[in-house]
Amino acid sequence: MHMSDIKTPFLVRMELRMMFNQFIRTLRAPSMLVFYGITLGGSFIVASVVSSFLDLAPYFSPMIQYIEDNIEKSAIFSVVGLLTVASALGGYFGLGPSQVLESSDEHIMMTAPVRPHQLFLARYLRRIVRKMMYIIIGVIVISPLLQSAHLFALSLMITIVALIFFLEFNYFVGGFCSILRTKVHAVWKSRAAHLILLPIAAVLYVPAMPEYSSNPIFQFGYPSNMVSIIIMESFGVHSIGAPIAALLVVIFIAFFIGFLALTIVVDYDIYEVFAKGRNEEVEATGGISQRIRGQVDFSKTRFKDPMMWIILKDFWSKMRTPVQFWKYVYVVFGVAFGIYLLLVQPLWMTPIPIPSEFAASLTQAFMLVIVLFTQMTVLPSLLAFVDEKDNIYLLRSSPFRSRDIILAKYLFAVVEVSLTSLPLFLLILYFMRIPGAAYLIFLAAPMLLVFSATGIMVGAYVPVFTNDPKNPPVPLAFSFPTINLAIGGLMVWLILLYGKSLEIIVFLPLLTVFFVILFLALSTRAMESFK
Amino acid sequence: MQDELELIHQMTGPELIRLAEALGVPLTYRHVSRAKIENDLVQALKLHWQTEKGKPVQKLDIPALKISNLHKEFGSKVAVANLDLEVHPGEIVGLVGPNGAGKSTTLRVLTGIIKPTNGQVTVNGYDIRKEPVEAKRRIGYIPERPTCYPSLRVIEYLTFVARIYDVPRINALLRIREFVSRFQLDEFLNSYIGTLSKGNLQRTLLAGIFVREPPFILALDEPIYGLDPRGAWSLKSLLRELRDDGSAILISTHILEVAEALCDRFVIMNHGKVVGTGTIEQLRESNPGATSLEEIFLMLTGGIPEV
Ligand SMILES: Nc1ncnc2c1ncn2[C@@H]1O[C@H](COP(=O)(O)OP(=O)(O)O)[C@@H](O)[C@H]1O
Ligand SMILES: [Mg+2]
Repeated sequence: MHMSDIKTPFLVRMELRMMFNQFIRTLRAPSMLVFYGITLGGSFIVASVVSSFLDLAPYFSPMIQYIEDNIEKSAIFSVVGLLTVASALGGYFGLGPSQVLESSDEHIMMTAPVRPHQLFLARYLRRIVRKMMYIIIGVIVISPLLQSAHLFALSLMITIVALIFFLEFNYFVGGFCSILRTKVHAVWKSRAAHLILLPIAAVLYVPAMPEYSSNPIFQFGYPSNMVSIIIMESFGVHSIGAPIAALLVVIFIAFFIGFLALTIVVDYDIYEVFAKGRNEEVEATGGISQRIRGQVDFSKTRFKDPMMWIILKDFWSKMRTPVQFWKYVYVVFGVAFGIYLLLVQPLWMTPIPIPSEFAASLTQAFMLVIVLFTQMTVLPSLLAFVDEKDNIYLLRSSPFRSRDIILAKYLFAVVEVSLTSLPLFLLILYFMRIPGAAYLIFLAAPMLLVFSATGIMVGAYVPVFTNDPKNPPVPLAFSFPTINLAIGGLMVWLILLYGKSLEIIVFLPLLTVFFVILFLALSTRAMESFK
Repeated sequence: MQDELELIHQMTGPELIRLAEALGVPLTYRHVSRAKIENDLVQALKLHWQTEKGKPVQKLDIPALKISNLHKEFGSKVAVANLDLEVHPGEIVGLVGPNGAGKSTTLRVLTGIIKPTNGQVTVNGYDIRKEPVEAKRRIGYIPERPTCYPSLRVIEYLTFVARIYDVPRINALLRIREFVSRFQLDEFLNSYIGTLSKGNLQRTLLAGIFVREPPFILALDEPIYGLDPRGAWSLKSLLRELRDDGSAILISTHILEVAEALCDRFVIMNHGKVVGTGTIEQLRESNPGATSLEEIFLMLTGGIPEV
């Protein structure tokens, strides 16, 4: 017993060592450095440029006024409180603490004379250190924007840190629920065991409920309420002058207690949950590929074009996953709902009222929202190659031209992304009523075309940098939004400059075609230089 | 002592310095020949062993590995049904069977990765469920698909394992050197594991097992599979040596030549059940007409196919 306890600090040291090595490896690889440079430097420049033509500060006071007028304090408490409840549910049905395990642990750490809580503790610390570093870098990179919004202050830092501790606290709550599930299911096998969730959700939610959240004990003792107060104080919404630094300390204590408590209860069951999760992954892909073989007969297809075969293969293999099915259901209902809103304009869901004096400057914000939302919806294009996992090598060695593969992936991604983004854009169109700016929603189309091409390119480059094609290296993954935001920023800037003149009708499509062709050409090159 | 001199001779500079530190040999002079340092270290080691002499030699429990009535289900799929198996110290047992027979599942249960649905596993006398840490102290496991932490260097991994398994520092230094030489890992010592080829990864994992102190209870899942002929040969000869020194070894494989050449006893599995056990002679006796392990295997797992 005593021997194994000495091991914990050693395990922690080893985790930090691995992280450090990773960092050094990145520094030594010029291609990685370039990508990091592009990503971080690019983001910083984009943030500076955006903040130079967009003065965010004037939006804040009306927005805060709007929030204060329309959203009650207790509603904020309840909404933030729901986050904790959601984490509890997510943890219960998800992986919980076994999330920190990796596949190599299975035969190295799980078979070693090490206790699960030691492993959990070491891994968790590595995760949190890493998260902190990402957040610090992130804050530095977007600091120009924060400055322009006059948000770059101590209170913002406190808010961010409090938010992190709060989210980690929620993670511990989820971890508890995951462990609880294995314990309950060991003795109570029926599905009714899931009912245990009801009392848990209730207990977690009560302190955030409007009836109780005004109680000072709950307000200053329950993490979700405390973090709500910190956020409200630092943005000046419903401010009562609460001592946010002191609240931060209390949140930290809650975080720390949660951490200790979870570390204590972690036991060998997390290995079991981990093993099960891994097998489900394997089973899912196994089952899918079998069914495809059973149902789609490629020899009978009418299409002679290899590009169509790849599209068909992707379509069928995607359709077999439950997520995809629900996605299409969402598209159908989302579009129907959007059209309903636009046609009927129901009273119970009115658009955000926009004072006319802000209309001009809000147009810029509107375009930025379009950039951001388009970026959010094009993620499937990045996954087009990543989802192939090791099969990418099969595809690469198959008798298709790289060009056909790239084009197939691109067309399929564009179709899918266009469909899934429709509901979102209808909603934006409905809610953000900026006089005379509605036509700008069509800016989404060229962006979508270009952003999808970026996704394909970044995805195609993954196997160039690593021989583990399902795990894109961090800088590569980050370069995806960065490149897109930069191009999106460029397009917005062009519209602002030339929006009034006709040249833009020629300019924008040309630019779009240029970027699409450039990125697809680069993708083809990437495919031909796999590692 | 000759062996240790040899090992010290093979050590790199940093390794010598670490060993000197561990033995308390001062390295204060500015210029000194390597031979002198090596000599000093051997003397210090001699002294060190003398003080260690009183310690009892580690021995495994008998049987080293005992699986009784093991049953494992995945949902409704029975992967292993009522398996009984013992491995004694000084024995190599081959767990053979076609794909999907349940070999890997058996190894994963006995190493404590997954729980059995039913049944009991004792490793070196400790129940793997009740005293997992004690039970795992002696287990060395190589999985079917080897992987390792990509951002560790090979040498870091080896020292890491030595620490996790409480190998005293001096022994760890000597053993790491021994197995690095044995598995020809010298040129990769400072490589990141993520950059190793499959065979070298396998060797690193094997070295990671053997830097621990014998005797071992080994559970090796298709260990020969990723190795080149030289690697395979040196692993086989190493396993025989370890067996003769009192380790207990269980190897899962469907490469029957390897099994026949290496194992003292066989357990043949099919569809999760044991369909035959014993030495090759015993198996021949109970399956008249079959001469080689291959023929016995085919007879027991669905009949010899007609050509
Ligand atoms: N985690 C799992 N979930 C479901 N089925 C499994 C799992 N692991 C193994 N199996 C099934 O159990 C059987 C035995 O598998 P395994 O032990 O890997 O066989 P072997 O190693 O002998 O080839 C196979 O039919 C396999 O599909
Ligand atoms: Mg197997």
